[in-house]
Amino acid sequence: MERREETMKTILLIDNEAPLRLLVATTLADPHYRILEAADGTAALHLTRQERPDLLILDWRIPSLSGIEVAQALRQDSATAHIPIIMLTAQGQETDKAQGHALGVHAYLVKPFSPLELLERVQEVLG
Amino acid sequence: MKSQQKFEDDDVEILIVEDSPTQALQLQHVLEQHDYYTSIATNGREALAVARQRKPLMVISDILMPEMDGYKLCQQLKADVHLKDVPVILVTSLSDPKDIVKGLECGADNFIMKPYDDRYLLSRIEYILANRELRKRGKVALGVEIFFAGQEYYITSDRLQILDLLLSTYETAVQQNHELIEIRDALQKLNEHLEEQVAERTAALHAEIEERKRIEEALQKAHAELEMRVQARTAELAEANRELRSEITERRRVEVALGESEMRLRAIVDHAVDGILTIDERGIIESYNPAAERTFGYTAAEVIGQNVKMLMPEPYYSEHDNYLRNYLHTGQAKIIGVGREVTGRRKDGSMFPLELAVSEVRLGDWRLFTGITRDITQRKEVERLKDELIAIVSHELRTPLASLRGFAELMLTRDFTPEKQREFLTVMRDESIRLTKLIDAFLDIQRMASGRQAYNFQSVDILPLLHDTVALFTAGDTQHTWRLEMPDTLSPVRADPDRIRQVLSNLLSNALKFSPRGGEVTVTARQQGGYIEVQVADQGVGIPLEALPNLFSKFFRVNNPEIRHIGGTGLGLAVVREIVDAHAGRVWVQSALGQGSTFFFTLPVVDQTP
Repeated sequence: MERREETMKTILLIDNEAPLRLLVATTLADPHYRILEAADGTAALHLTRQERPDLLILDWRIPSLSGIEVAQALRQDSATAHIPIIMLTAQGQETDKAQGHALGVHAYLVKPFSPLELLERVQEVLG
Repeated sequence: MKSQQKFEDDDVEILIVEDSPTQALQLQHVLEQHDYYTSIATNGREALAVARQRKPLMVISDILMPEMDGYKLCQQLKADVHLKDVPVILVTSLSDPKDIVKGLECGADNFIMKPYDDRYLLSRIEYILANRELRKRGKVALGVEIFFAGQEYYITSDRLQILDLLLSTYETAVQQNHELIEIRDALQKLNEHLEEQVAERTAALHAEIEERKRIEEALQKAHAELEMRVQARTAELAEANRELRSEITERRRVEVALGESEMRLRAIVDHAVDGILTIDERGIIESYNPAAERTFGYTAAEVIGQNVKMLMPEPYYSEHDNYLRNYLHTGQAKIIGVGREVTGRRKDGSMFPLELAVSEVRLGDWRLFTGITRDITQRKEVERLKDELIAIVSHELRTPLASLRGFAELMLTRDFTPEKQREFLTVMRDESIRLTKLIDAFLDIQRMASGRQAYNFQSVDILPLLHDTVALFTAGDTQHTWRLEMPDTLSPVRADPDRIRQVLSNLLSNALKFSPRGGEVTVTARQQGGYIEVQVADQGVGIPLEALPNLFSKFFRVNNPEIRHIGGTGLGLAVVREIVDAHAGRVWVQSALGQGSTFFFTLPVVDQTP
């Protein structure tokens, strides 16, 4: 049980839409993943610094701080700079994607997305 | 009285009677040179006295004298017994034949002509003296009456005496004739000389006349030519004058027409919505209309005569001179003839997007460039907001779609308990409804924007409507404190209840969105005159003063870093105003930055008088 705790990966899911959080949580329902949820940018930063998740699944349009601003803040902090990020957003334009990739996000998925693809991307990151 | 002895045996003395002393002395001088004694008397009376005192040998008398003339003297002498033998010579001009008759009548012995020749006078004197003795003898008195020249004369002279007188007269005539011949010869000579001179002079005159004629002809020719030229020139001038007059008339007409035309054009330019300005080839601003004043913030007086680059920010400011020079040199235009979006610079230094169309006007050798400018800040903003709206709408649509697709895909690929399946299907249904509502809202906005919204007005009690709508927002909200300040009853309003619900929803939604840190949200309703006034107050971020004028414009969103991630269509308040306007109500806002906003709207109460 303790071993399992140690190998369990923590994923922070940030989206202000409850149905979306339910969908993603259901998609990633795996005994090896611990899912944390946040509905806005400020909460996301707070939880990241506190819980040091192994992966962030980040929406763009969220209250207080945007997903991009959250990502920027984390990249500037050496303690959090290495945390992989998967952008999961309705911002589907090429310029938006370019902005995401410029921040070194691992994957950029546009809503509506395929849950299976999301799972593949998560597994790529967490092994 | 001097005397000289000539004839020693006799008293030979000549009495000279002459009233002119000069002539008397001249005669005396001649006679004394030839050794005659002379006495001088100045008139007849004096001569008579002298002669009576001492009998002279001869008397030579002038005729016209004072007191007693020559004829009278002669007559007196001839009447005197002692003196009647003394010969009398009358000095006469013999101008009148009557002189001879008168001489005969008075018994004169001889005549000499004035002026007399010395030789002739002396020969006469000698002849008289030689015949003196002869005359003393055989004297026969003889009276003869003659009628001459209409007058009667009685001549008493003797024959010898008459003969002497006539001979002397004849002699005088001969002598005169001789003199006349001499004079004639002299005259002829003179005449010849004169003729020569006249010929010479005539020739000279002829030459002169010829010369004059030539000169005159030349002058006349010159004059005629001049006259012709003057006439030609006058005609030319008259023609030119006529042309000028007609030109002036035409110009006046054109000027008046131009004046009117210019006034019209000026009115058009002055009232144009677009800024219109002209520059010359150097880039100097020549004209600048009121719309341009509004666009750039400079008055016409501040920019006319200045370089147009003052209205441009860098790098255009520095490049413009070169650009213009290059264009004039190569004819390669970047802007001329095409409209372009550029950046303008206002007097306050702010920059703004500007649509610029430049056209070239050629006036003879020089060129003017007319720029028509339109501040497209609003349009650019609207474009930006439209783009953003599309992004928002797509985002809003994609989110429920993500749930639909995601749950469907999960349920197709995995096995879930019936409870889980029900939960997911419920989410899918709710998200479908949300999607439908979004599409409806979007269509509403489109309809509103195109002015095709239909209203279903009716008498509405607004209180339950307010309560129901507020309840929808309070249900899921834990951040804010809600307060409702309403009386128990209110007059019914004339309204479309669905639209009023939309108005309230938009205002409440804004109140929540723009007070992310919570606070109080107060909804108030009360009657104000013939209107019901509704207020929605929050304690949120507030609205900056400069945003207030555009707050109810379509697609307008306040530019505030604190709220820029807050979603919205930018149409909420525009929709509110459209609906309230359609109800003949009013909508306005009071706000203080950082302290919150209060939105007001009014609806007319239903007229209850039957």
